[in-house]
Amino acid sequence: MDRVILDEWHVVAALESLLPGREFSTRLLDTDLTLARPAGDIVAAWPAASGKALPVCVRHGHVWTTLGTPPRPLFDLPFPVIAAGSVATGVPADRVLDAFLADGAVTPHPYCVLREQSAAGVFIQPVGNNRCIVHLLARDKAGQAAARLEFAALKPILESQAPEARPQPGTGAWYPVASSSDLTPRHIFHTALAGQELAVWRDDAGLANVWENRCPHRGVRLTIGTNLGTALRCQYHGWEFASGTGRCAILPARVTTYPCVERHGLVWTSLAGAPENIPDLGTAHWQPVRAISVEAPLSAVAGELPEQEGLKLFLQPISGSQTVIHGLSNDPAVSLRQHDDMLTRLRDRIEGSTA
Amino acid sequence: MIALAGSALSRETYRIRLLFDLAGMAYEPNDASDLTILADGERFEDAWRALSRLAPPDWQADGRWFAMARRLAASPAETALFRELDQHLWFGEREGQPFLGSEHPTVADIGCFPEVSMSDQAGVSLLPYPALRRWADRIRALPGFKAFP
Repeated sequence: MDRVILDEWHVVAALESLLPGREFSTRLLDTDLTLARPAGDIVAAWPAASGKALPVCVRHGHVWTTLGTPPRPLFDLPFPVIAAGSVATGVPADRVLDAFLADGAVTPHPYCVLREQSAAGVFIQPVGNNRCIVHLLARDKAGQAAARLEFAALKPILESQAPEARPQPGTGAWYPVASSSDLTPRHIFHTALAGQELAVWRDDAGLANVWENRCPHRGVRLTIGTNLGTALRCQYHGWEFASGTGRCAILPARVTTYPCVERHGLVWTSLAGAPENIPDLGTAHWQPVRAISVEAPLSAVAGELPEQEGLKLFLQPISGSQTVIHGLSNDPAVSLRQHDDMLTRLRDRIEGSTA
Repeated sequence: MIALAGSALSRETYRIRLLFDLAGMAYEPNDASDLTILADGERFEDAWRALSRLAPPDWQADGRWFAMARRLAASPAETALFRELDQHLWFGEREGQPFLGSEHPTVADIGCFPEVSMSDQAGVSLLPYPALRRWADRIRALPGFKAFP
């Protein structure tokens, strides 16, 4: 740990988020902390492991503490700020800092950016393990809303650029990624295949689309956008991408699209564009059962699937540690509830043995 | 008109205001810095009591949903709760109950909505809970809906 950072005062909560009489848990530089607010501006903080009280300072609408020995009191601000909400974020503090640094911004502290707008900047709490909590600041009520709106748009961009290994697409096999009934009118279904996040949606004419869940403009997730019936609109800058082609209507940009076939009540795709090899189940009427998500790799699930007359099971690898079981039933004597009971018990057993 | 006091940034205040917004009941918002909920001077210990006291008859819900919403507020990252809600809603979609235990929205939905819609703040992705995502879409599409400020 960098000694300079350890010896700094760090923000750990907005004062108003601490309820008098209740303890509050948070994390700072890989250390679990407990906070309590007996009354008013009196706040205590201690590491959950040791219980030994830490120095605390309540200023600028927030609670500050330190794991080291600060060489000076907490910084002053050129103007008063109010808290505008706190958001846990899956990126390191430095990256959030970079995103807020702009002309005219001042940094009175390594993890604080202030600027002359009503959405006045951020105090960043370094949580550890490439995560941080962003405490948004404002100068007035209007600034609170503006700050939240701004960060709601920024957060998915930062997280989509997080330096995680990009997973390999599948081997080219076709996998079910949804059931046809999941794609309700004007909904955008959110799933993933082999670590590739997908936005799956049906247009008003009934055509299903399987798209990479990423706007080509700034990498924002399309699943937080809007299904317009003929196109998807990205939440961030309002770019619209047409059903079928994924092309933007006005600009030379296009979403990455994957092939999509609906068969036996399921929506199938392949990331590698392999020739279609969906299992042929004949002309019998197959009814999808509720898909069950299991916190286990595909290999751990595959060996546990039961052989049952009138029930076909297919696996969708979400990631290296999560798998969805899709099922099709053509046995009218077994209800959807009974299938669901069987599959949730199977899930609990698999998770119990891999945990 | 009922005056509603409470911090605009608290989920408890949001739950109460959402009931008024969705049920089409007029109110006078009064941003207070503390978290006490006051409706026309009556003080409520928690949002659940306030919801069941203030909701009109067709917005009332079975007590089991208050228990669920309380558990969710206390443990907003607990997988078992999200799984239970998702399973319930998947079957509800097939049995004419697109809302929690009901064909129309009630305080059961309002009680659970803030934790579900802000699940990312608790580090929970809704990707494994498709029926829960569709339900959240249905709540957002209701007349009068307002997002958390």
